Amino acid sequence: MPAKPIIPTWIITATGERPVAELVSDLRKAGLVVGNLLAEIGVVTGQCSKAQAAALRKVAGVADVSSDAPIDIGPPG
Amino acid sequence: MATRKPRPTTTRPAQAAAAINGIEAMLLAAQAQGGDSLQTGRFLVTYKEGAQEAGMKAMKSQGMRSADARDFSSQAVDVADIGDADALMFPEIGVALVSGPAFASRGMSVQDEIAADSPMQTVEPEYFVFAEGAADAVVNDYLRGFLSAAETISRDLGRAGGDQAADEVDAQVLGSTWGLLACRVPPGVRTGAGIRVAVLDTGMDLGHPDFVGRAFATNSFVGQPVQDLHSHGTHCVGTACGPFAPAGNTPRYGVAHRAQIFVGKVLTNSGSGTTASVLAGMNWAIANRCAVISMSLGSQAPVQAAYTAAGQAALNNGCLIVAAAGNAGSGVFTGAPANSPTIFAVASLDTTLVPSAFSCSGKIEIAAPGRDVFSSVPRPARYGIKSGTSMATPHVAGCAALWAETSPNLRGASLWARLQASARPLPFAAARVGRGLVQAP
Repeated sequence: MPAKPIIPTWIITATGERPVAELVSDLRKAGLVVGNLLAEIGVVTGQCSKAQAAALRKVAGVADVSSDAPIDIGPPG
Repeated sequence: MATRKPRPTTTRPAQAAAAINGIEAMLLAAQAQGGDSLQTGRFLVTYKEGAQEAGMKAMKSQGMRSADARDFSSQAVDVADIGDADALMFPEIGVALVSGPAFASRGMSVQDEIAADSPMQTVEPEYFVFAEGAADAVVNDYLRGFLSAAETISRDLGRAGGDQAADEVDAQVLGSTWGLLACRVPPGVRTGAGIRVAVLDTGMDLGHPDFVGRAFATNSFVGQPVQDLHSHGTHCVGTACGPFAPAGNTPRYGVAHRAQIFVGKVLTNSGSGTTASVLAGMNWAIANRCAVISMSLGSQAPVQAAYTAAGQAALNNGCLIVAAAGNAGSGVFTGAPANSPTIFAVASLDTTLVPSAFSCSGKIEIAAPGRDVFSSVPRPARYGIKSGTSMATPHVAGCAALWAETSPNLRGASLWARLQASARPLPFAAARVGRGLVQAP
């Protein structure tokens, strides 16, 4: 059975110029499967293809779209 | 990053010897197999929160003989005591340690996908853990650092105020870590009472004896129980918020000993996570209006817009995010999230108050003790010494909580400014140490 393609996770940062509910609605229309709405910090996380992520960048009220990335405690601690 | 701990513990010498012999036997077996694997041959099953009872039932239904840590005095289990049991359950932390043969004979594998309705969260091999040196060597290293710091502080104060001041410091030195002394925590009267401090890390040993009676607000963002099976998080919480007077001869190692502790688990028990889980933790800490948010984590990435937005949201809501500059070396620029302009970046100092060789540079707000830092770690060890900008960061978080206690006006940007204005200048470039060594009020 072929492995399922991994759908990347994206971090969408809002400009704060639009109501969050409106923004999330437009992100969904652009193909984002919304994971978390982090209202305090104006960030939405979710999954979609790379091509759809490019479209998210054009949604009004989006300041930045970045791919999720690993983070750790780093050596030596 | 082999961090799993075989957890042998006992106060009885005969049992200690048995446990050590058991671990030595496993080590010999691992060496006999060749290769450089640090796996013990046993497996750790972590259950979903509240699902450990269901997990135990499932194990029994598979014919496994299991022992329960609750059957041992104070849940201080010696793995040598479990006899011929196939598995040892640790209900308090939702984990089972399963023997290799029992695991294999039931066709289990760490590669297996776990069904969504399974009580199990993760299945991982258990790893050997080695201290960086023999116990005596570690203690000696620590004492050397401690004496070096005491000498440095005494010398500086001696210059300023004569021998009497130096004698007073000597008296204080006996009861606190070098880091707390360098930050001038022990002479202060502030406690952090009423101030919320969030530590976003690998969680916390919620049953650590030094934190009995302290309330924890907790949340996990990585699908594992908040209980810290790594030790990094427990160490950081200890430095920021550990007790005023630990039991016995243990020196004081915690700064804001009456602060309200918020533990956000954003890194797994292997010490790793992703931007999304870290941001979720930041959102939670800000929503709870934690005046201080301590983040001993990072990646060598350029400035991330989401972290900058989170830092700004924090400042707008009277919160201050302090973050580790990173441990990639002085020639490497501050990592994310500390490189965001809205986040307070912390560099590390050695016991001689020079910048640590591992400490990243560039965008640095302040420096704090980060070498040979003594603090809490999960039971059974209870205490350990670690180094890194990770260890410097909670010194700043604790001092920030003490400053916040002095005035309700010291929040967010004004707390940022006060920490910098009160720092002790150091004879090094701002790119290495920022405005200098953090100082308690």
